[in-house]
Amino acid sequence: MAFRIASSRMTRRPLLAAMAIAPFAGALARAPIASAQDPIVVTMVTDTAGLGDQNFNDLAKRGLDQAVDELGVQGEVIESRDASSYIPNLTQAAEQSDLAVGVGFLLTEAITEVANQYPDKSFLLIDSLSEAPNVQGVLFREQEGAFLSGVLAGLMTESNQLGVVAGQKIPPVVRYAVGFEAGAKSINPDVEVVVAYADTFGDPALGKELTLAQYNQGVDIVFPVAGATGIGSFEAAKELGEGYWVIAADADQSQLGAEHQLAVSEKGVNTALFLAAQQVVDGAFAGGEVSLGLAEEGVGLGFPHESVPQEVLDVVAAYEQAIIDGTITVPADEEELAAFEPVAPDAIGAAVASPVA
Amino acid sequence: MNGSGVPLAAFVTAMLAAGLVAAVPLVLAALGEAVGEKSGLLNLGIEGMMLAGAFFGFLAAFQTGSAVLGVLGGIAAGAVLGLVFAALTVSLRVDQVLVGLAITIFGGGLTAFLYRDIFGGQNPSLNVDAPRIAIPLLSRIPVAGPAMFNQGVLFYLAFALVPAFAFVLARTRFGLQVRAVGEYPFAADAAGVDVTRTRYLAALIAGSMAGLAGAFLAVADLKIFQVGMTVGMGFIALALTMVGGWNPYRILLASVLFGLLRSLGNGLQILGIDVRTEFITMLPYIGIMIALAILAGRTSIPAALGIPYARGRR
Repeated sequence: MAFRIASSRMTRRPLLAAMAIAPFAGALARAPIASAQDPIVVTMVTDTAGLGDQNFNDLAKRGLDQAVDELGVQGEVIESRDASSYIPNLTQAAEQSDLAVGVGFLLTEAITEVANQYPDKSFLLIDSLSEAPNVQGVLFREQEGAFLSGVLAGLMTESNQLGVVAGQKIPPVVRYAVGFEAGAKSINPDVEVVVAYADTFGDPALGKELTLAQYNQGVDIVFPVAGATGIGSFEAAKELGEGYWVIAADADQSQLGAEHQLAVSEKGVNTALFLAAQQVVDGAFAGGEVSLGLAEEGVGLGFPHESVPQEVLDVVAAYEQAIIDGTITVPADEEELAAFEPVAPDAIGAAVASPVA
Repeated sequence: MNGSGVPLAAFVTAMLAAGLVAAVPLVLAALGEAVGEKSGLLNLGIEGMMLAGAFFGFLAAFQTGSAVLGVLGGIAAGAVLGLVFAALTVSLRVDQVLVGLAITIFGGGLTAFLYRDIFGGQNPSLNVDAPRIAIPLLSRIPVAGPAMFNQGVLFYLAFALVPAFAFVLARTRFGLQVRAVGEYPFAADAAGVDVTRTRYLAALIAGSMAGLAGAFLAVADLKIFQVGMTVGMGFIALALTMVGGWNPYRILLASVLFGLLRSLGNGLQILGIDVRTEFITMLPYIGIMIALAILAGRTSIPAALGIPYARGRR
């Protein structure tokens, strides 16, 4: 701790001097002696949800921890209590570190402002893009991970009816919903997918209501893509008991009902942070847009329930490979979904597994 | 279109049940609000009181493993805020709108802070029993039976409290006193009614009911706490109190109408009927506005609503 404060003071004082020699800064950072004595500092600034949100912020922290363990960087976290603290927190992060990370779409404007004031520092922004040249904006191809959840759900469903409980109709949510449907229909042509929009990310009671309505309509697997609204889906599954499943989006939510979580359509916020930290360590960091999908292990399907048979996981793995190879291009919006031709398992050389039903 | 293999009756039952469950917290909060407003107290703090009820109900249930203690904890939290409201508005005669809004903001902030402090990093769900009770015979009535007569304890309680509140307000000495201090506190005072005490009791009831409504959400219905989980229900309850003309039966009617329109909107989506989501979310609010327009003028606002009482001052 004492070391960190000392080093941040040192970097703060000769700020103008550092800006003057900015062209040399990259070379200095790459010098092995510099990195050995003065470790690279990565500071993440949370959005108002803070640590413990089981979502973006916790995932980002996991990536930071990985960077600390594997790259030897020094990791710091600043939690934001309210939206007005984004700019001061990001400013502090920029002052004290080599890479400042803004976790979440909500920090877009703040990070652009701070990045313009610290043009020699590197910034990472999750789930959004910034105009500032030294900000790396990471967007995820959620549809690719969701496609695999759709394949899993299409194989596991007994009623051939699947549901999506969505939050607001914004691009990442649509990518999830569309990818899920494309995957389900590829593996199981008989399947029907019902999509219901809650129009909010913060109403678990409405999420429960919508999920119950879908279950009562014959759906047996629900994919909530709705933030806190989706928390209600687990309570709906628990209320109805065995045979009702939830596929969680973004992060593992087994604490809400492990016995009903079929799998998790993961979003690698942690991977994004780790990769950016690695680039800074290697001196290869660049601003601009980064797109993470299955090939970059930025999204994926994880935490399969123990009742999922291996043959099903093998089929999922075959589709994963086909997406990585580019054999399948997963639709990312409703227009592309309408034009999408379902890809049957034999078309990608997967062992033909008959639907479990 | 969807609906393969599921009989219409089962679908209607599910929609009906969802609508009635959605009405429960609204009925509970609005009944309390009706008593408060009848006594002259306009409580805009319901939202904060509901959140406090939800959080402290969740906390109590989590710590003790008992749903009953959880619900009692929620009621107690609402009651405390009800007393704070009374102390500020009745004794200190601070503006009721300001105090109400302050309690709403305070309740939201306090519960968010405490939840993150105590449960941050875990986000647990409750592992308590909130059993369903199927009422013999009645629960076997086709369609409506399973929706209305196979529910949890608080569900029945909410609907049983409607005639109870109607009786207390219309037929008891306390109810008469409440109405008197809400209409013309000077006359009530002159007749020997303790205005301050009556309004304190009314605020206590309003707070307790809002706390109970919150506890229903967190402990019985969802078994989780989420920051800001009431998402404006307190204000809807406020509107329903007015739509219902401070009459418990009409409040019940308005709340059920609201709940059913909400579940009807969900049902349209699930059936795959292509309506814009924004319209579906608007449905219950449009219904309430229409009801308000039809009923406006037929009800009379308690004359002293929102006006602090000071003996000898007019």
